[in-house]
Formats: sequence, structure tokens, C-alpha cells
Amino acid sequence: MAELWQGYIWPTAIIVIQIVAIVVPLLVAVAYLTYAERKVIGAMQLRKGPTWWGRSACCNRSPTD
Amino acid sequence: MVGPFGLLQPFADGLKLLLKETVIPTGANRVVFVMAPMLTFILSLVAWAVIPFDDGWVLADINVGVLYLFAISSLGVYGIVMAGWASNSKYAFLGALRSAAQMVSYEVSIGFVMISVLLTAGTLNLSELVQAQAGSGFWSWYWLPHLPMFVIFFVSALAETNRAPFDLPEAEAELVSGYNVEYSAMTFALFFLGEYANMILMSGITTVLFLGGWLAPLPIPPFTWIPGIIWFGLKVSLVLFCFLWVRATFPRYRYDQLMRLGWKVFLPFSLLWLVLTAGVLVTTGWVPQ
Repeated sequence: MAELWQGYIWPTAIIVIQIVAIVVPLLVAVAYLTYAERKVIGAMQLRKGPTWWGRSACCNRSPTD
Repeated sequence: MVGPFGLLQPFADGLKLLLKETVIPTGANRVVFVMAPMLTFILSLVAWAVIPFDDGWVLADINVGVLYLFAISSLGVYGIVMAGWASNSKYAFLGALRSAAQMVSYEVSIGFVMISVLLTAGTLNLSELVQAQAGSGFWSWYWLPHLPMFVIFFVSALAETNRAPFDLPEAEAELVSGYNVEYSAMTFALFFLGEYANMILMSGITTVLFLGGWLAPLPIPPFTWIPGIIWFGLKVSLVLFCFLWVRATFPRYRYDQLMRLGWKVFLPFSLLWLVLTAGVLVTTGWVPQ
């Protein structure tokens, strides 16, 4: 009985724990990746427009002028 | 705002998808239809068994780790083809065919890039591959000697996961969302999760092959105090950020341009680099044991 426990069940339990330790953070990461993607792409699309230079939007200049 | 700072949003989305009705089209082959997303998701999880997170922290330290990864990504094509075929819908079928052809084409160049890296490392075992990059910090990681291969691998990984400029087979405007047009609730969620898990997997493979896995950028004390898994996570995040960055930046490739890129540009160049690598290694005698 002791060698059944140590020979088979314990290594299996260790492997299952390792699998869970990989899969659960991975799934959480995937879930937050979808959210992070929106944030990152959104931040990249927040471009500065032509009213960037002057603080009052009077001067219609852009950084390339 | 769902939860504090909106952090529970992804779980709310997942719950919604779980509770929606799973629609199976009338003419669809039920078994294959349900098996396809399961297969895609299972494969993207199974491949994580060989990725080393830290020194010795691998689930399965097999001596053919790279071959295993390559086999898993080749099986991924089956999931797409099954989905397109079982949907019994023209759009899905076309999208699946295009996607499968795209994945297969870019897998070839991924294979040759991996072989170039293998030659320099001398082992298929991923942990040893990471350790072969140790030495003088990030100047000795494989991104530097194999810089063109790094770029080709990154772009091929984008094409492999149907991402960013190569997402014609699943774009809503071109092909009405391609092979997953008939999928509704949990099945769609599985495809979606599978795609993102595949993306993280490809980032993980990129860091292991080119960016030195769990190694610190400089082998001096302040950097070596930080555990390897944190470096691994940071590098994977960096590559993922580049995935997202490319998606926000470039327009989509037309399908024939995409295939031309895969076969006429990447394949000859990666073959050339492979021969070059082998030649350099043999001439200078740097062939690793």
C-alpha cells in the first residue's frame, strides 16, 4: 500500500498540481490579454491632432509645421 | 465599471458567452462541429508542457522539445479545417481553407528558422537551448546573431496565429469572420481563447528561442536577484506588446500578397540563412557538442 501511494499516486498528484499551476495563470492571462489589447490599441489610437501646439485651439498648427 | 477598475470585465464577458445558447447549424456535422474548437483550445494548452519558465521549471523536460512544439502547431491546422468543413457554410469553408493554407505556408519558414537556432544551440531540449544563450547578458541571446531570423520568426508567428496584418481569414469585413462565423457561445469562446492562448504560446516560444528564456539581461548581481520566471514574464509581455502594436499599426495583407510573402520571400531567405549558419558553424568550428 505504501509503495502504491508513493509510486503512483504521489507523482500523479505532483504532475496534476504542476499542470494546474500552468493552466490557471495562463487562462487568467488570456482573459486579461483580451482586455489589455483594447487598452493598448486604444492608447495607440489616441493621436494628437492639429490643435496640439497652441493651448487655445486658435493656432491651427501641428507638430510637423 | 465591472468590479474595481473594471478588472472583472473579462470574467463578465466569459460568463455571458457561457450562458448564451450554443447554436449548431442544421446541416452541420455535430460531432466535428463541436470537436473543432475543443481541439484548437486543447492544442494551445498542451504545447505549454515543454516551455521552461525558469531553471528546471518545466513540466516535461523532453529532449525533443522543439520538435514537439512544431508538431503541435502543425496539428493546429486540423482544428481550423474541421471548423470550416463542419460549419456547412460557404464563408466558413473559404475562410478555413485560406487560413489553413496560410498557417501551413508560414509553418515551413518557422521550421527553417527553428533549425537555424537549433544548429547554434546544438540541442532540441528547450531548457538547454535557453542555457546555451547564457554568457554575457543580452548580447549573447540568439536575437543578435540571428537577427533576420528573429524578424522572420516574429512575422511568421503573426501569420501562424492569424493575427494582425495576416488576419484575412477571420476579418469581419472581408470574409464575415471566416471559419468561425457559425459559432455562437461557448464554442466561439473556445476559439477565441485558443487564438489568444496560441498568441501567448508563440510569444513564449519566441522568448525561449531568441530572447534567452528566463535569463537576466546582464549577469551581474542586481539583475540576478530577480527570479527567472519574472524575466520570462517580462519578455513574453514585451513580445505580446509587439503583437498588439503591429495589429494597431498595419493594414491587412491581401491573400495573394500574404502567400507570396510566405513562399517567395520568407522561405528562400530562411533557407539561405540556414545554409549560411551551417557554413559559418562548420568553418569556424563553433559546432556545439
